[in-house]
Amino acid sequence: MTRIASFHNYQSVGNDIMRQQVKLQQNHDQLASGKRVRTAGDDPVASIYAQNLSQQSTQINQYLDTINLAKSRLSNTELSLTSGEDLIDTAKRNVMKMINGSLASADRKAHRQDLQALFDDIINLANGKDESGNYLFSGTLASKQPFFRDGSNNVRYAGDSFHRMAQVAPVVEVQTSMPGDALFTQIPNPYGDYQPDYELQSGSLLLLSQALNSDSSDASTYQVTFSQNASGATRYELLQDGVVVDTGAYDPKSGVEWGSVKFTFAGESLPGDSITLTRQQNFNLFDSLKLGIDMANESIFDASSTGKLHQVVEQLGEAFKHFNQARAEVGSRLNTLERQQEMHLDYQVVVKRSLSTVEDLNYATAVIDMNENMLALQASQQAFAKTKQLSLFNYM
Amino acid sequence: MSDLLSIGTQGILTTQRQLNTTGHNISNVNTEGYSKQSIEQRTADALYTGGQYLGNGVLVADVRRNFDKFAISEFNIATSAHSHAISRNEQLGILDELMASSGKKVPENINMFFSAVKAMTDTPNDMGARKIVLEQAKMAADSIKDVNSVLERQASEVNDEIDITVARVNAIGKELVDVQQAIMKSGGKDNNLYDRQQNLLNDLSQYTQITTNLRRDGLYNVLIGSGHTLVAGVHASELTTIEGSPDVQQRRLALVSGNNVKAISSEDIRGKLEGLFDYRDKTIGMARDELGRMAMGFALAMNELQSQGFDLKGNVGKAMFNDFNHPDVAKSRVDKASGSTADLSVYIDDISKTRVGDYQLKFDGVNHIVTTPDQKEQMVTAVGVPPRFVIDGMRVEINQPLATGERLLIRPVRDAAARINMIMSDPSEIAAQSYISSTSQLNGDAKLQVDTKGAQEQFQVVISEDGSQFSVFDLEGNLLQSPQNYPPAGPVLLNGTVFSLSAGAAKNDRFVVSLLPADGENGNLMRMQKLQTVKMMDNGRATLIDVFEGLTSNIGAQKSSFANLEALTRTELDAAQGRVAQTSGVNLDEEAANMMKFQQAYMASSRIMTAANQAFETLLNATR
Repeated sequence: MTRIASFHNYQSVGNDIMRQQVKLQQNHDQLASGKRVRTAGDDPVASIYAQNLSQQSTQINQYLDTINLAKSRLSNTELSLTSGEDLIDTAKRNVMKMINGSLASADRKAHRQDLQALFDDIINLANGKDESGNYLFSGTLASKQPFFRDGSNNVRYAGDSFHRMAQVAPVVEVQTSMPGDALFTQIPNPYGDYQPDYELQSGSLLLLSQALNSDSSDASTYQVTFSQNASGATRYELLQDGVVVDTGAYDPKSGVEWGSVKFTFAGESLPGDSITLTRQQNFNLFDSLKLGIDMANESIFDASSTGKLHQVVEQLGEAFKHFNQARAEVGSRLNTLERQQEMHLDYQVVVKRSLSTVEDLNYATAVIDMNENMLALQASQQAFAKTKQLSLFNYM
Repeated sequence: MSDLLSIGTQGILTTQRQLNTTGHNISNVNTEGYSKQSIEQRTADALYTGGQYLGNGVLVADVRRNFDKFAISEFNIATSAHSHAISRNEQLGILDELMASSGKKVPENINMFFSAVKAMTDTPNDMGARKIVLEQAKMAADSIKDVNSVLERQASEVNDEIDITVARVNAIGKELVDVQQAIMKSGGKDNNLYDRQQNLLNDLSQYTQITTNLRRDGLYNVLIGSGHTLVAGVHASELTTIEGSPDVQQRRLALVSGNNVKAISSEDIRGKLEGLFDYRDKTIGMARDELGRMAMGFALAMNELQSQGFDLKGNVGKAMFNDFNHPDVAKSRVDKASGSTADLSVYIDDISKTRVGDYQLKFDGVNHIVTTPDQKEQMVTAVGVPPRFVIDGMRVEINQPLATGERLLIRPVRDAAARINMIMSDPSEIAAQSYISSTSQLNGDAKLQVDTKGAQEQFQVVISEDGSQFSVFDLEGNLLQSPQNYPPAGPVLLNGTVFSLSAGAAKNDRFVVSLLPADGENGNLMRMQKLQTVKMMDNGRATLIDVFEGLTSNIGAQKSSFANLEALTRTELDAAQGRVAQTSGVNLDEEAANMMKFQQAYMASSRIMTAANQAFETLLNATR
């Protein structure tokens, strides 16, 4: 038979009750904090998940912040590009009006002033700043003014050709700035590989429509001179760096083809018309505007300068397209940002949900738990109180 | 008739003692460590009269102390195990709470730092954004230091607690000697002294595991731990702490007996003492190491990145944190015994291979032998001037050799968390600009490092289509250096600019280098923000924050397992205590029954005396 020692009996019942109170205290802590896992010791495995998930959540929030900043950068750029398009389009219309032969020279002067104003607007745009005073189009030389103009409208680019990036997802980086040289000074030549210099007879309507050269290492200057033979057929003569290399009857359909070069023309030529073709891959928007402004001073009857104005129109048309493309690029970057933002937000929901499953308290279970523990405590307290009333000493 | 009277008297005396003992038991029902006493009574020697043995009453043979030696020694072992678990659970509970409260600030602040870097990436030349980055870097470093200083405080508190515990053990030893002397004087008869002795032993077993050997003279020899004699009869040794070896700071246990001081291992001392040593040497050491590893990883990586970029003034970036490979720091990683002439420097070359814990370096006169933290021995060969060897990402340089047979400790990261310091104060010194510019097209892992900035400030390095050659162009695409073998054998000289190019580039990779200052360039910041997610620790398996999370989880797991152990050992202790109480405890009902029984016996015995008296009187009256 087991002997029960009174003192030990009190002690162990006391210990039992204390343990039940500790359990209740834990229940209280959980209910008060709403967390099932308060410290790593509460559930080490869950805590690994919880820590990883909350780190994920922090990173997602930071990516979202970055996306917001990048979005405002790109929206800013997009806005500038849209105004640029408008200005270029207006300038192009302006030059077209200059070409319109019915105008008097005085009208051209008026248009010239308009064009000069547009030039100013565009250079202001190109030297635009963001909210923190950094130049938008200076590449990575944020505090350096990108475009400088001298007295005769020559514009020099002082920025660099680099851009800034933003990391918007673990492996996704988005370009957030656009260097000014690519946008303003490196617009693809509308004619292809050459720019024309006209020496036209008065009344000639000859214009270059395309000048291509498949050999990129060929840097020579070409000249095409038109003449008429006895039968009235148009002939051409092709000079390479001043040396005649080809001559023949001119067929407007096929143009002039020799070796790797191919030139096509539009409009009617007059004998003696000559076009010098200088190699040029890209042109500078400001040069083109300057050319327009300069040519506005020429007589409206000078066919060569009208040809030049046509060139300006072509170039401004190309510049418009170039800006349009740039805006499309910015738009697609903004799309990427939107998409990443949505993905992050979706993922954030998943992470938050998992985090909640891992570390948050299920109140229903917790309350049931607490009731069980309370019941157990009450039962053992009552049992203890009752049995301890029984003593043989009561009967002596 | 006189015998009947004496039988009655004896009966009364015996039951009186029984009643006394019952009373003693009842009075001591709540006395801790009290063992129930009982009277052993036996019949008195018979009287031989007329060929008959006549019963001659009762007498008290012995006052017995009810105890079960096996139950008690089991109880002592359970006490040691339980107090070890309690002490571990308590300490780990403190750390666990620490990690959940102020410890949480460490990853939070590091994340805030990255958040600031990300904001600065958007406007790299904004002084406000730069200032925030610096402040957050300082906060991150400070929070690491904070947690570390709590750990250090804990370690010094544990040292104090060890001293107090040792003093308590010594006091118990002395008391035991006093009690044993008293027992000797009492001729081993005083049960209450045995109770006191047992109480002291129970107390002692909380602090360390004890073994008791009963001597021929009835006294105990008390051994602690794995068999170190604390008390031998009436002589006590003294426990003390001595300088650690080779780490002087890490004090060890030792036993003083006479003039002899003998170091004893705390490994198998058990009880609370082992808990304290475990906490100091294992838990806190590990936590400080992990914290230090993260601190050092962060500082080294940031400084490395700083050196790869240009600051706002266009200068190569300066260190943001103190140099963890400074010669003084390199020397501080070595713990040697006082008086050692050895002089070693330990540099961290590859933080991803760095491990926590203690490396032991031993020189046997011919070879250097390293025992790694996972207790594996490894022979290393030191070559070069000064002789050096590399192990786990650290470079150990032996400036002055070890003496033959000398051992010393290398702790690569122990003090790192205490040392981390922001040394940058000028926000413009943050190296935001990368000279490998954003238009580079890189798919490989090759690194291009500009060693000297010369006349050539901008150029492109292009890897050939088959990846076997590289050429150098200017930014416009004009050839500067015709194709040569990739990777280059040494640094490449280009108009005064010297760059080195490592292996690992993919085909057609293009490095566009611009050494001109650009305050809007953010390439280096892009690299800095990647530190948040790059797995640069544990051989590429963990990020910086993973290291901290691992520490938190590790402490949590230990805490949880010791909490379970505490519950388990408590049940065992309860059971052992129950078994002791089963023999030694006082049951009041039993004593009440005894009381009634002995009261009745007392009354009966006195009745015998009356009877004897009456018989005597009858006899007297008969002769009257």
